[in-house]
Amino acid sequence: MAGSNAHEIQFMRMALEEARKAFDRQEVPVGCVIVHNGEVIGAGSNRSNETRNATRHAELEAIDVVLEKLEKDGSSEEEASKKFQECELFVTCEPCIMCAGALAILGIGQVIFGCQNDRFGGCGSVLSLHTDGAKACGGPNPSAPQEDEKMKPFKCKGGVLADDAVALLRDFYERGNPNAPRPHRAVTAA
Amino acid sequence: MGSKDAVDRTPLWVWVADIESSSASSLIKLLSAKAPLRNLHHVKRIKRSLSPAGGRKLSIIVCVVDGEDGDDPTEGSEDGDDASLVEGPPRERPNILNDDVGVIVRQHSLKLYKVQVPRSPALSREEWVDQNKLWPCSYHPVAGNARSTPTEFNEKELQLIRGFMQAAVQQARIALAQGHQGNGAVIVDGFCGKVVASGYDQTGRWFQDRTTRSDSNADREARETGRGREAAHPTKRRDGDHEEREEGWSSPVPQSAEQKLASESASESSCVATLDSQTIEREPWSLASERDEVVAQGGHRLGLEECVRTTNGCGLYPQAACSGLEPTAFGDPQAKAGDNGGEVLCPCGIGVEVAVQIARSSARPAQPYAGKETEIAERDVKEDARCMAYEGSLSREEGIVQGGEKGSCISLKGCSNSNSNRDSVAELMFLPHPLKHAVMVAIDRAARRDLLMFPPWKEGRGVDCPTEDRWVDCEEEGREALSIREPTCERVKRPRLEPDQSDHIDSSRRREDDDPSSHPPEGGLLPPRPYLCTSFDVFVVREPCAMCAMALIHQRVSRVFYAIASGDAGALGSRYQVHAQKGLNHRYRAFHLGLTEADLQLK
Repeated sequence: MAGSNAHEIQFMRMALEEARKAFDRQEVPVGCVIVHNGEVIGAGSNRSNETRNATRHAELEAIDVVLEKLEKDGSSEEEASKKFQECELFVTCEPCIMCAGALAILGIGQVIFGCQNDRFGGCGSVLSLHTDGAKACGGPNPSAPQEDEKMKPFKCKGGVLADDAVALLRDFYERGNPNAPRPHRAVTAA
Repeated sequence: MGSKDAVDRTPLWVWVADIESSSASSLIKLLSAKAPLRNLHHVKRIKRSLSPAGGRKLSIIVCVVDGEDGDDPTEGSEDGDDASLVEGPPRERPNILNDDVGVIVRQHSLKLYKVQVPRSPALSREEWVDQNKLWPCSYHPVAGNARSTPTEFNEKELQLIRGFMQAAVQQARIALAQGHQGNGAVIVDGFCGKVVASGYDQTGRWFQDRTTRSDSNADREARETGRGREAAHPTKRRDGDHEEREEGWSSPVPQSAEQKLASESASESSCVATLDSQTIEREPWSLASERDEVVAQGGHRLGLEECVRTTNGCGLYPQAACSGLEPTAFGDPQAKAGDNGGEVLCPCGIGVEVAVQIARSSARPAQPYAGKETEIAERDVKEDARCMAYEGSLSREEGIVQGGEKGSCISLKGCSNSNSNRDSVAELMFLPHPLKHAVMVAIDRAARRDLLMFPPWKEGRGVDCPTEDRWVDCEEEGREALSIREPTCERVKRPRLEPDQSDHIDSSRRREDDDPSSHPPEGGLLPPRPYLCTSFDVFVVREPCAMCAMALIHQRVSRVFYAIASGDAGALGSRYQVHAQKGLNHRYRAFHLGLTEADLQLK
C-alpha cells in the first residue's frame, strides 16, 4: 500500500463501506465513491444481481447519483461535464472495461482503485482505456464533425487498500454468489 | 494496445518436411510435444496433397522458421530469399533448429524446406478459403479475433437479420427525432427470434452541438407549450404519461409518491405508452414538440428506470453533499416487500412498450421489412403479450397489444413501495444521460423485462429477499472468480433464428418455466433463472464503443450485428476487439453489416 496518502485511504474506506453494503445485499462486493473537492458527491455499489442487469456496477451507480444531483441542481451539460473532470472516483476494484470506457467517455478527472481486476480490468489489466481514452459509439458526428469528441484518457492509480477489497471479495465468493445461475451447492450462512 | 492487437496479415515461414504416412502419427506426437505451434492453432500440422508422381503426399510442419515467431518478420524472408516457396527445393537442414527438434529431424531423416502459412486465424469464410490454398487451416468463427461479415447466412437468415436491423434503425430514427445521436439497438432472443427489448440513444447533446442547447427556461417554456398542445389531443395514448411528466417538470418541488399515485389513478390512461413514431413522421415536429417528446417518452421511461434502480450511497456520509435524500428503504427486504408487495409484479410497460413498438412496426406498411416480417412481428406481439400475461397479474393481452389502454398497472406503484422518496427524484431524471447509449438502454430494458416476467422467488407473495439457505450457488464460479465482478452463466446452446420451430419450442419452454412465484421450487432450489442475455442476439446501428461492447460481454450475448463502424470509438473491430478479447470470460461473435449512412435513411 506504499504511496497511498491519507486522502486516498479515507475515501477508499468509504468505498469499502459501500462494497460492504453490496455484500450485505448479496451482491458482488464492489463499492465506489465520487469525490469533488474533498466532498463525496456520489456513492454506489454493485446492483447487478438485484436488477438482473450485469452492467449495474458500482461505478455506474455512483455516476448516476452524481448525474441526478447535477440535474436536480439544474446544471447544464457543460457544467456537468466540467464537474466530472474535477472529480476523483474511488472504487474498491479496478474498473472493468465497460466502466473504464464509461469513465473515459465522461471525462472523469482521476480514478483510484483498490485491487486489480485481472478478468475484466479496463485500466491496465486487460485493456488500458485510462491511457487510450474512449469515445461514445457512433464515430464522428455527421452534423458537426468539427466538434468531434475527444478521446479522454484519465489519471489512474491502483493498489489503495487492495487487501481489504480482496478480502471482501473472498468472503463473498466463499459464502457463494447467491445469484450465480448454475446451482451447485447450498449457500452456507454468512 | 489497439495497434498492437491489429491483425498481421503477412504469412509466416515454417519448416516443412515431406513424410511417409506410416510415420505421420508418431511424428505429430513428437513434434507437438517438442515443438508446439504456439499462436498457430488455426494451422493444421499436416497437409495432404497429390505428389507430382501422382501418389499421395504428406507434409508436416516441423517448426516455425526462427525469427518469424518473434518481432522481426524480415529475418524469415531473408532466409527464404530464394525459391523456397511451397514445393520448393529441399534445403539443407537448418542449423537454427533447437536440439529437440534437431534430434527428431535427424532420427527421421527429414528433409526440410520452407513454406508460408497464414499467420493469423481467418476472420471470414472467404479468407479461410484463401488460407487453405496456402496451407490447410481451421476456421473457428467464435474464436475469431475480429469482426466477421455475415457471409455464412442463408437468405432466410439474412432476411431476418435485415428485419431486426431495420427495427434498430427505427429506434435510431426515434433517437434522432428527439435530438439524440442516431443510434438504436434491438435485443432478440435468438431462441425464438423474438424482440426482447429495444432501446435508442439518449445521450442527447451531451457530446455534440452543445452551443445550440437552449437554457432550461426556454426548455420549460417549450414544454409548457407542448403540454397545451397535448391537452388538445386527449385521445393520444401518451397523454397520461405526458401529463405526469409535465408535473414532474413544472413543479420544482417534487410531488410525494402518494400524490403521484393519486393523480395517476385519476388519469384514465396512466399506463406507459410510447411515442407513436408514425406520428413523428406524419407531423412536422417543431423543436419544442420534439423536446416535449423527450419528456413524454424518455422521461417516463427514465422514471421507471429510476424506480427499479436505487442508489444507496446518497446522504450516507455526513460530508456527502448529495441531493439531500433520506436514506432509502432499499436494502431492507422487509421494508421493500412492505405493504403492497404484490404490486411489484405488475408489468411496468416494458413488455407493453416492446409490444407496442413491434405492433407499430408491423402496422407500418412502408417499412422495408421483407416478406414475413409483418407476420413475425404480429406473432411477436402475441408472444409478448402471452409472456406478460402468464405471470398472472396481467391477463389483458388486448390491452397490451393496444398499447396498454386498458390500464395495465404501472410500475411506479410497485416501485414506490421499495423506494418512495426515490421516485420523486427519479422524476427529475429527464436530461440526456451521457451513458445512455442505445445498447445500454436496451440491456437495461431487457433486464427489467426479465425481472417482471420472472420475478424473484417469493414465499406466499411475501418477502422479496430469499433466505440464504434457499439460494443456491455456483461453486466453480465462486472459486475462480475472486477477481471478477460478475458470475458467469452456463451457456445454453439453442437453435437460433428459426422462426419455423420457434412457436412450439418457445411455448413449451414458457410452460416449463411458468411463474416461479406460483410454486415453491423443488428440493429447496431456485429455478435456475438466468438473468443474463444468454443466447441473445443484438442488433445495433452503430458499432458499440468500449463501454457498450463490454456491457454486452457482461450480459453474455451470443452475437452482435452492427450496421456502421464507429471509427476510433468502435470496440468490435475498429479500435478494439472486445468481443474476442483474450482474457475475458466470454466472447461473442460480431458482424459488421457494412451499411452506409445513406442506407439507413435516418433523416
